[in-house]
Amino acid sequence: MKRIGAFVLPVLLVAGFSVFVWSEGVRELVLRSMFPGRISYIYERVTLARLLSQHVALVAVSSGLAAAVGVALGVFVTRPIGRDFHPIVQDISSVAQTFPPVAVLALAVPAIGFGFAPSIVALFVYSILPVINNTISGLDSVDPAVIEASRGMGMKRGQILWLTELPLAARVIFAGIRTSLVINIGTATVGAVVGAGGLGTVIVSGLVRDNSAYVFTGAATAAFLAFGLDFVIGRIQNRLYDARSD
Amino acid sequence: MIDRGLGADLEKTTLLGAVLATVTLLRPLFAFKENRVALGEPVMLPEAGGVWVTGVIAGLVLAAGLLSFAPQVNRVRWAKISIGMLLFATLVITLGLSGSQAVAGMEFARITPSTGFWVGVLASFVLVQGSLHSAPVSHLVRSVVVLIPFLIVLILLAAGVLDSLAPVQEYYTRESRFVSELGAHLWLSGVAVLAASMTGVPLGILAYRRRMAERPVFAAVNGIQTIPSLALFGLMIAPLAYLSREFPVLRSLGIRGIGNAPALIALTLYALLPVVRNAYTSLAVIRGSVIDAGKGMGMSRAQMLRFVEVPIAVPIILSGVRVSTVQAIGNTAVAALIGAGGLGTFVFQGLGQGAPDLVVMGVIPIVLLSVFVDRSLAVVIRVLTPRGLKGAPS
Repeated sequence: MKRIGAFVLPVLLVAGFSVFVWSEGVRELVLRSMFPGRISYIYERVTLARLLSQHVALVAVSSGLAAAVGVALGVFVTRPIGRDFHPIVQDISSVAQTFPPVAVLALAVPAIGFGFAPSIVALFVYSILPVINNTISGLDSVDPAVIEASRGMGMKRGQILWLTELPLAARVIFAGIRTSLVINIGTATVGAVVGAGGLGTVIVSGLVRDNSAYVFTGAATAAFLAFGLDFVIGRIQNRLYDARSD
Repeated sequence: MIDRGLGADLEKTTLLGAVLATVTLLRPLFAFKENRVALGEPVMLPEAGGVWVTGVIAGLVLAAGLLSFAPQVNRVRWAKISIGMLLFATLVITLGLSGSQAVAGMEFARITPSTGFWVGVLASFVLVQGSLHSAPVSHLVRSVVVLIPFLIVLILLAAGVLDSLAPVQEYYTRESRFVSELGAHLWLSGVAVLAASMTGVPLGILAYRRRMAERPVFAAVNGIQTIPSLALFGLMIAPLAYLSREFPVLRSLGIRGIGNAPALIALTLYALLPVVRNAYTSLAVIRGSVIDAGKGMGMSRAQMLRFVEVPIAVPIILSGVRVSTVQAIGNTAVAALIGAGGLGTFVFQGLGQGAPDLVVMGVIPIVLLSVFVDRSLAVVIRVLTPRGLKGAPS
């Protein structure tokens, strides 16, 4: 019975969320009961579904790139050829991680301009940091004795990387990718201010026009997206590594 | 002596620094603008600094390039660090002096640093950091060296050498506003972190003591952290507006749908996770063998608290506060969107007006503030950590 319950609740939530996003009639009904008054309930310029898909696209592209490039960089600086860059890459990424993500997003405007593409660059630049950090610390934490053993078994360098080091570091690397994804969903919301589109657009428009229904529409959808995605990744993580996440 | 061939001692970071530094000679140093919204005209380094400065920079590039093939001994390391520092100082001073010359006599004219300058700064960072990292010096010396560039900029700012820079001009036109927004920023993030610490530590203890509470507490504080900051701010507005409408008492206290109240609540909720997690961890650490050791030494309950539990717990909890504070400073910037004020005001004003220099003027203090707070708390934590527990440097 408990298994069924654990399955039914997410399905119900996702169904409710989909109806809220795709059916403007239902959304208007919900919002009207929450915010009685003579205001507009449905953002008229772009559909919510379109904003949601923009948001997902922003996050997917930037996080995908960040994961790929971040892991590659982390691997590079832990190989003999890139060893020289290890301290400097680690320094830059740990100091830059204390920068607020919004700052990086805002600085993208003077550097590359307004819109979707510059926002992707900004999201990418910031979200690559936790991936690099975790890749480096994951690979560094692999016991040298295990690598020695792999070499003893006759593995080549590439084989050691793919079959020994990366699988052992995968857990830490995955956690970094998860962090970068959550940060990106949040920062992408603010991206509306720099013309990136996405769910922040309704929130900002609601704030400007003093329309609480708009603000709620965007905020609730963004919160659900972030929450849901984090939940799914947490599940995948548990499945893969069979451990409790935190 | 065995000949190991050219390149055996190659230090790749230094070579990278030298390559980056050449960009300074090939790309514009700054853009000259007649007024705030004018398009900039690029100015190259030779044009800005003349033959001498160009010669100095070229010399530094060459020296760095040659030194990257030298064995990394201490004297070479310090030579590279000095080259990096000199490169930085030369660039900033040239920028300031030739900028002042370019805008002389024009009321609204200003300059914005361009690619050449920024890549040059990056090059000097690479040169300094690449060698400083392996230098056998204490934490203190390293921190002092890292502070030198900031001191250079501060002195030049105070002397008025950098007055022609656009962000500096943006600052001068709203000096008093800047001070009050900086105060608001510090107040908002400070109060939020304080409130989060006062509620987070008891929550962490509760989660550790009662197994029933552990899951819900962590599910809640984790869940809050995943919600986008702007969304959490937005979700605060409607209920607070409602409460303020229904209860005049709250309204008279200044609690409204927008402004400080929703910002503070959201910022506090965000700041909870690191504090709760570390309070929980500190108890788990104390619970281990140290307690037995203390008991074995015949310590009384009060002595245990004074000599064992507090010294172990405080640095761990403070590390949580450190993470919370850095996050809160960043999130406070977003709070400007719901009318809470703070340095974010300038950033979003600048974005709205299409004035990139105003954005830069708002962003730089936010970034400096978070890095400064992060570093100083790291020092405090290092000092407070008992000698036996000192492990990885933070």
